[in-house]
Amino acid sequence: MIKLTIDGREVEVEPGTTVLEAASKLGIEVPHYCYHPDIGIDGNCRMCLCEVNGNTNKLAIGCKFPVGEGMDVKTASDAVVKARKGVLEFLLINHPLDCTICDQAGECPLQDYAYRFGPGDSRFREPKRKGPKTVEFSDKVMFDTERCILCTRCTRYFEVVRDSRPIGVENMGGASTITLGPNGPITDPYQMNIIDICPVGALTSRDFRFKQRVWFMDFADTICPGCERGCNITAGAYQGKLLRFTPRRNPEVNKSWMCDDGRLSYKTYNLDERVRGATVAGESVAMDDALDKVVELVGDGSGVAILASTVDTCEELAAIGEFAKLSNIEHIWHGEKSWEGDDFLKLPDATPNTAGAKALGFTNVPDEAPALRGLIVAGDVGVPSRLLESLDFLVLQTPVAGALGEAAVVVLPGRTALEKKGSWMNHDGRRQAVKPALDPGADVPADWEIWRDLASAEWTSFAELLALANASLPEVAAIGTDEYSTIVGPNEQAQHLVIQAAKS
Amino acid sequence: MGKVVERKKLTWFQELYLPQVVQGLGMTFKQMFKKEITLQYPEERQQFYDDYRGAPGLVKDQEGREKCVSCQLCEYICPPKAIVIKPGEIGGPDNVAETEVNENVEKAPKEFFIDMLRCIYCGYCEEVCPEEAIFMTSMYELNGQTRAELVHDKDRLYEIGGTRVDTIQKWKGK
Repeated sequence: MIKLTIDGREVEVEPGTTVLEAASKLGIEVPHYCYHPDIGIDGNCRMCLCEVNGNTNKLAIGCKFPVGEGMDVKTASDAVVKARKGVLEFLLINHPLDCTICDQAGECPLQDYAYRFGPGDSRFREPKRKGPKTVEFSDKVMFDTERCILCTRCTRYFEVVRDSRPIGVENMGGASTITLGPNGPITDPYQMNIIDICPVGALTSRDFRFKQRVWFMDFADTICPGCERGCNITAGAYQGKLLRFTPRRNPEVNKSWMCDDGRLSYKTYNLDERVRGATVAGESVAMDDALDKVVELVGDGSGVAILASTVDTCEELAAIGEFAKLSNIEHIWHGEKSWEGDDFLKLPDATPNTAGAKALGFTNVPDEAPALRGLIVAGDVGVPSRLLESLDFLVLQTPVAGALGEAAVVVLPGRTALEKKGSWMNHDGRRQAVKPALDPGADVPADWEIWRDLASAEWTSFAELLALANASLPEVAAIGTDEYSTIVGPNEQAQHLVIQAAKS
Repeated sequence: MGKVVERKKLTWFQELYLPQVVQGLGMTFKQMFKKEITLQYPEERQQFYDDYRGAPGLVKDQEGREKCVSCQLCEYICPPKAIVIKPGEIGGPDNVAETEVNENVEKAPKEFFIDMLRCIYCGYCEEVCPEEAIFMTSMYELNGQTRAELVHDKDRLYEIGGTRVDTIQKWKGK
């Protein structure tokens, strides 16, 4: 281990660590553009200059400079502040004053750093460099030549992470630009990640382009419901409509990446029509009456099965399990949904909580299903047609009833994956917090509340349910209830909450 | 307890009562021969100084091109939240261009609403606008049969704002 001092504070790090990483361990921010923790070091932007051992003649770039024993690093000395101002002045020579129409504005490191560390003025009076502003890199990514600061994060992303080179740097010196390779538009299924890592607005999403300024949007740190991987994402919504998903860094799950399919799947969660309030035989009734009807239909529980969607959270599944136990329902199954996986992040199981469902005692629907009197379907799940034969009653608890809605005796409302609160267990057995990005309104209660009222359960609050779920998931470390109190509403300050399963 | 103010006794001259009547009549006659200051509204209109803050309107330049790029700063700054903008892309899938598409302009408002029942005429929108596209006009007569009529849409706002000569026209010479 190597001991060094950064801004007067001592830190101990592994040999080979860079100054920037050591500083971030202390919570000291060293501004940078070209360095990215998941792509690696390049050292071209010169933004991370630090003063090492009082050498003000030659400042070192923090992203590449390795630590040494007894080193004395200053990240905000006079020389550093002056040098940063110079670097920013250079970066801004050719950067257009596009902030008014730029999608990156509001979440732009160039804007932020120029404001915090920049000179506030430019001594360059020459006209700025001109170039094409709408270069279509593909049907998903748009490139703006003028805004680019040539940090080459995008080209290095493809080289390092995707092992391909669809784009590269063309020409030399002041004429350099990022350009498409000879094979035409980018076809990579993970290409939209370059939009997030671009520190300026040079690469923008053609899907999100000009939809909304980010400062008007509400963000929720949650999990992508697309597949079993459980990529950490930030869901951005405006006035109750989702506008985008962006990956949130989690080095142990998805690093800083997510697939384009998952990213664009936000559209399926903006429901135009949905189940609101309860209906019995097509007539809308009060929720309590509908629940009484379900209890009456279930009776002693014989010949009844529950088919739960694996989009439901561990807590909801625990509540369903509790209801099944109290009503003597022996068959509790989980639904299945799959898509084509690949060798990077996308997994074939297209639901986020199959591992959680299995851990809570839910099983696949058996090929030889027993004769059923009744079926209760929880969540938006494909019901195998063999289960629907010879049914006396069908109960649906789902956000979208679809074709099954007409066959169902009782239809109860449900929440979509982006309206849920709780946790999902990914394929690794890692339990991750899910927070609601949308609020469907009072006539769509939380799924766990419906199951609690159905079971007339003894527990009433979410904290008690959480304790119940923890008890049913033996291999997972118990989670303190106060950690979950951070999962509240869509407008809550974004907070990371990752619950690591205790793995033996 | 309040202070008891003693009522002053009137003098004999004040008690006469007639001098006050004469004084009042004098004032009346003086006004009759003075220059009139009452405006015969609506036939006559008041002349406003240039920076009078009436209803806000959007302007176009001399070539009929929208100046607004829907940066939404006015929506952000508006204290009573009267402004709602839906941005759009020029030449994109839902082309919102009012005139011919120019490759130097990318963004324009698809929809632009100002709720005049909310507007407090503070003029912040005009002040914050980086494109000089929104101005407080001298229009002060706002009425309608319904509330919806007083939510000005894009067409109405351009009608109110009219045309302003743009000396820079930065989209042109690029």
